[in-house]
Amino acid sequence: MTEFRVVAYNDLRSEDAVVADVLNRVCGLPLADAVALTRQIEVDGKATVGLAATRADAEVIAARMLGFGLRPVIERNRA
Amino acid sequence: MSWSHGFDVVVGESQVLLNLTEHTVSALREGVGTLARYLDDLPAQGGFRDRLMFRRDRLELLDRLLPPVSEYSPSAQEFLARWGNDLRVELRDAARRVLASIPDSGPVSYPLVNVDDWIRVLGQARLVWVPRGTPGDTRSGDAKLRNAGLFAELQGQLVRALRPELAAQLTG
Repeated sequence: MTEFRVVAYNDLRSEDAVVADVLNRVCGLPLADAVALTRQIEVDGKATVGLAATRADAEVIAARMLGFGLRPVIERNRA
Repeated sequence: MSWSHGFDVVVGESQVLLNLTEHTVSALREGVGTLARYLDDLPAQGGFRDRLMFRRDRLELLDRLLPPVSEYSPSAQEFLARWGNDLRVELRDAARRVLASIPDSGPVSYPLVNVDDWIRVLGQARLVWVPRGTPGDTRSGDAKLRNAGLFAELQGQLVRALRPELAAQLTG
C-alpha cells in the first residue's frame, strides 16, 4: 500500500545530468527510470519519483532529495 | 583518468582534480563562504544593525534551502523539526570542506569518495544569490545571476565527468 508519493521539482534549475544523478544514486531509482523521470520533470516541471507506505518513509526520500537541492513535495495518494 | 568536456574536471581512481580559473576561485570563496557562514549557528557579529541584517539574510537563505515539503503547513513544520537541523549541519560541513580544499594556486584535489560535497555545495550555494525558480545565466550583466549560472555549469560538468554513461543516456 503506498499512501504517500514524493513529487520532485527542479526549481534550482540544475542540469539534467545532476537531476538524473540524484534520482538514480541518492534516491535509488534504476538508471533508466531516473533518466525518464528527469525528462518528465524537464517537460512537465515535476514528476512523482517515490512512493511510500508511511509519511516517515516519504520524509526519508524527501530529505535525501533536499540535501542535493531538488525540491520534494510529499502528497497523500487519493486513489 | 578521463577529461570532462570542459577540460576542467579530471576524474582519477581515488581523487577528482578541478582546474579552476581565478574568477571561479573568487566566486567559490564568496558564494560557498557566505553559505557556510549563514549555516553556522554562531551568534551574529557586529553592531545592532549588522546583527539584525545578518539574522534577516540568514533566515531568508534558510527558507530558500528548506522550502515546505508539504502543502499542509503543520506537516511541513514537522518535517523541518525532524530534518531541518541535520540538513543544515550536513550542508554547512560540506561547505567548510569544499572551502578548505581550494588552494591559493593550482588545482583542487578532492577525494572521489567525498565528491558529493562539491555536488551539493555547487547546487545549493546558488541560493545565496538567487531564489528557487530563478535560473542563473553566465552571460548576464548581473553578477548574482552570472555566479549562479557559473555554479550550475560547474555542477553539471562535474556530474557529467563523474558519470559519462549518464550524460550519454540523456543525450541519446
